[in-house]
Amino acid sequence: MAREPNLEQAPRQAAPVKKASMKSLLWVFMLAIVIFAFPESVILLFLGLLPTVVALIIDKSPKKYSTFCVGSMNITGVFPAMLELWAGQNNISHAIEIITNVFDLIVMYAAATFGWLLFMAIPPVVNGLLAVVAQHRIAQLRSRQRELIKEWGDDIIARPLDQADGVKSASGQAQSQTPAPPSDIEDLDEVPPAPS
Amino acid sequence: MGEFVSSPPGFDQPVVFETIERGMASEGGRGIGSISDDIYALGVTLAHLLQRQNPARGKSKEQLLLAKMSLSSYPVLVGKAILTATMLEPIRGMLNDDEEERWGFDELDMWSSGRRVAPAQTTPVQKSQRPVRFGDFDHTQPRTLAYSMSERRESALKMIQDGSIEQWYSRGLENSEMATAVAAAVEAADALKETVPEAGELLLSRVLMLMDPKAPVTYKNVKYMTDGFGYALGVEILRDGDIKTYAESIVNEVPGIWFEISDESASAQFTELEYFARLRSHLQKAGPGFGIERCLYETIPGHACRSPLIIKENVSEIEDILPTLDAVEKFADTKKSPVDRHLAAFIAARSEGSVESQLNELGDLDGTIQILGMLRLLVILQDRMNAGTLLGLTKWVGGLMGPVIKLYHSRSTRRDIEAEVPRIVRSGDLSELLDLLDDPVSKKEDQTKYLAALEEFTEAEEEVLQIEENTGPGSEAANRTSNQVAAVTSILIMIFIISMIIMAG
Repeated sequence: MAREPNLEQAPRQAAPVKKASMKSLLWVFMLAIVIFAFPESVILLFLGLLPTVVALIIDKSPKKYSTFCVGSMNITGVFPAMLELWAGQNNISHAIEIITNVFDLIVMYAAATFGWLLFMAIPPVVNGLLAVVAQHRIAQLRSRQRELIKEWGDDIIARPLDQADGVKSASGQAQSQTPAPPSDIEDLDEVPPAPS
Repeated sequence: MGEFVSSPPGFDQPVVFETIERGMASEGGRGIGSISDDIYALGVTLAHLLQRQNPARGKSKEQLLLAKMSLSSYPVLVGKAILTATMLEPIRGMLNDDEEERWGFDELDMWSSGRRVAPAQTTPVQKSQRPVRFGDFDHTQPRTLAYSMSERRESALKMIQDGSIEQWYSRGLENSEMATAVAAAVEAADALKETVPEAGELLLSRVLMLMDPKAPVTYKNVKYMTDGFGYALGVEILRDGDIKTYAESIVNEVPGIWFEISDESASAQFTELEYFARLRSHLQKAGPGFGIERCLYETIPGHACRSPLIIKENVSEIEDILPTLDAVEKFADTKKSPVDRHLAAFIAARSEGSVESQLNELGDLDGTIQILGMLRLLVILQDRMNAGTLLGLTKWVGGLMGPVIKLYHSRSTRRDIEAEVPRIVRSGDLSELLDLLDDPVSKKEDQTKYLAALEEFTEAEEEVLQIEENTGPGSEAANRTSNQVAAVTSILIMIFIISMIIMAG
């Protein structure tokens, strides 16, 4: 016996697709308006922001951090040219004139390159700083642990809290969630190495 | 000290001077005895003196006892020897084997004042027309056969199990009641054979006691009167003899069988049975303060403590225990506990109040609890005996307290206690030492703080792991943060430069 098509469900599934296509259509419509209304600005922006477009294409990360870095610097480089265009004749020939000016082009692309450099240079530095802060905190914690061992003995290492005289941990966590204690006091001196 | 007070009653007395029943028991197990037994011995002494010779000369113990049993004591010890007419009557009276009919002080007084004493009533002895050959003797009486069988237990058990004894009772002695009792005992032993390893020996003991209810308690190779158990045990301990069999007889409740068969009064039986039940409960516990040592001190009130630490000091009073231990501290191995099995048993047996909980601690598997139990026992003793200052013993005990101090988790608390112990040792007060080491408030506080420290340690460990996970090289979180910083920096630079351009333009 053939199942009857779910007539109520079909329009519900079709709705987001229709909505998305409507949204795209709206963007295309707006872009078309912008291209027709400000063709000189669009030409300058498109050619000036080419490094950002490239970064957007090659950046596979979900948050597109490299695109942000390159884009920000690229916009900074394009901004003086845009001001010049808007402050001057503001037509296509002037836009082409700016684009074909090597100095202006160098400023735009060099700014984008600086964005790349920022993206390559800042993360290792920040990683290093984070590691230093973490090392300091770990050193503090290890120092406190050594104090506790000095006062309460080695068995404080070997005994998970919920095994100590049948008293359960205040957090009520299961034993499997409790981290394995360091096997030896020497382990307490270990601090994770800072990233190179 | 002479044998009169230093050895068990009748221990050194030749068998000929003992009554039949006491003669059957081992030297140490003849029991306390009575005036009647002493009058019998006096009768035998007079018979010796009047005959100017030992009438039992050349006879073994078994031959003498069998002769006394089959003929009675007077014919064996006097026989047809010519005695003076004056002495014949009292000696016959004093040598009467029936304790009830034996002469006492009243009869002797009447005789000495010249009055006539009524002749004793003789009870006819049950004899078989068909003698049984056992142990080179022809037995016509159950009593003699029982004694011979008790001396040859292996062949005796076979004789019981093959039904010979039952048959002899029913045909030879025409005593169907006893035949039935023997058959029932054999049947009961058969039923217990699988579960009780000593079922055969217990059957033999029961049948022998049925055949001669007046004979001593018999089990394996030991024989003792019920009031002579303690002395018999003491003698065996002194000799390093067969203590195990004595203990086994109590654990297997052999005296209970004897009382069940004997015609003793119910009240006497109850007291005695309670006494043996108490000994049995001591034997069933293995820890210090129990076992065979406890039985020894419970059964012999004046026995000196046999602890190797103070055996040379011959301490028989509980008041002397602590001063003696205090004195021997200079020579003793102070790495060992001052309360060994003998001392614990001696204190438990002689102490007026109960020390069961301290003894249980002494027998604990945990060495620390053992030490605390020892200290508590000594403190109780010091308090009860008003023993005063015990410098040597406190020093000895204080030196053993290392494991007890380690019960505290806190190292600083341990150090404080360790610093305090020498001061208490100088005061010689054991109770102060116990108060210091076993303070419940300090213990609870230590435990609470220890648990808090444990929790803090675990939390620190968790945090360390979390930091290592989040800031380690190539970790996702670290990369994300650093990329975010790069992006935000770029945007901030852009905003700054554009703002500057706008403001400049």
